[in-house]
Amino acid sequence: MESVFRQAQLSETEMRRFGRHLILPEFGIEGQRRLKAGSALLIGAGGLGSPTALYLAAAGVGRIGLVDPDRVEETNLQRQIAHGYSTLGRLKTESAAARMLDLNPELVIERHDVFLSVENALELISGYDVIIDGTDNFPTRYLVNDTCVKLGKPNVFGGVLRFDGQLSVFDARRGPCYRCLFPEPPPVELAPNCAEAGVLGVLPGVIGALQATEAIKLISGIGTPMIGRMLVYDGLDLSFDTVTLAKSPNCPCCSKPSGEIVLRAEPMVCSAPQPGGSITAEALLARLDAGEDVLLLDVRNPPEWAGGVIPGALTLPKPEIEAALRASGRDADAVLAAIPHSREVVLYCQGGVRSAAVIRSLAAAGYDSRLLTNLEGGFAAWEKVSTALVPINEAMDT
Amino acid sequence: MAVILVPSSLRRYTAQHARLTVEGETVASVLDSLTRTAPEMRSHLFAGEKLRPFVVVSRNGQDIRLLQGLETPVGEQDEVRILASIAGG
Repeated sequence: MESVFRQAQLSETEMRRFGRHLILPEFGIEGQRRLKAGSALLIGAGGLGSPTALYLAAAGVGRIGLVDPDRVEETNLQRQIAHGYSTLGRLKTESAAARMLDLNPELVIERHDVFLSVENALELISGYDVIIDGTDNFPTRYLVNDTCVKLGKPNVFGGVLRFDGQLSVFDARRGPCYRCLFPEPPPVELAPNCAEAGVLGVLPGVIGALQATEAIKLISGIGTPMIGRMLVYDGLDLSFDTVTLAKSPNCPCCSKPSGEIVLRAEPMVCSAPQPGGSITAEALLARLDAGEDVLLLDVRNPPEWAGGVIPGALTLPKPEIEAALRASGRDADAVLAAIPHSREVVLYCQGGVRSAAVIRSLAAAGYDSRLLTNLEGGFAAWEKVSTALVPINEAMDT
Repeated sequence: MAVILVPSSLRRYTAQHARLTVEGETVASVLDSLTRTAPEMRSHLFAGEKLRPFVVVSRNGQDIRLLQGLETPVGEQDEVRILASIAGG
């Protein structure tokens, strides 16, 4: 990698601050100068991006780009430790940048408060030595991969869900890319995100710190990067395992010449036809504002209700509905009695995936799918269009 | 018999077990044994007879595509791991 050979002079303050790096014989002053001359682009300043950003700033990487359009929310603070209560509501790039500059005032931070998209990916990614994928969705991960392959950039990959973590360095010049491993994303119903499936808060800390380790190694030119290998972490067993990966000769991305790689927005599709209808948050808001009596059913889990529910919604967690559909008897009937057969029910969860699954289960159990409507994008989409949230206690009284 | 390692995202099909001992002499037959009682898991892992494009299987830490694919032999002491793509961050 070209940047490995670039170096920058260190100031007296830097010589003092990085003293514990300088005494590492494998790293030394040369490694530190390379870090200062190097650059990294963090895509996502959330769970994975938080520890990565802080460690790269502290370690002395000279120039760091942050890509994230989101603002800090309270539910982020269970794991996104670059942010805090004092920065709630602020852009994540702004919040993280303040912490990073506090660790290293000489650092150059470039904030990109945008979604990575087909339109901007080449320009953003071409400006940095090492790319760090800390995104939270499949379409962006495939876009990061394809752009890195096209431009010949190393992609430090980290992924987390529940208690599981994955880490690898994809560098198509020297090993497989992400599409060699997983040519296509899973269908929507098999691809829950952290908001749907949960994540142990410390898990992105573990994987993000390892991503920072790999980025520092790549920029300073020390050690052996995780190219062609994937680290598989299981937080429940506390086990680390390494899998040697295959470079696919038929890879839909890296087997092509760079000029033939076409960047595209990876569609997320359902493998089975989805019964029932759907409604956007804007359309739902318009119906409620018009005074229509819409029956809403919130199928999230109880802890999620604390962040607010749509006013007037019934709350019935997905697992209870599914258990009732499997069982028979008085208790099951009591649960299902709350879901009428004779009028439209608008179901929602946090992102729209779990409620779609409930609609499939209800339709399979004999409910008329024409009367089951899924809120597209779930409560997250609703929150963006409405400020009319009420605390859970009031909602349950209605 | 081989040990099969299941990622937490698929443990709803295995009564939350992370490690199971399963009959079989090849990766294909081990996965057959694993999914015999869990047809939903079968459709998560396979499209027809092929692994789906978001699932990787390894034997003793090597992607089976580097070995003999689903026909890779599996011995008594071998570990077969299912790796499913995850996007959370």
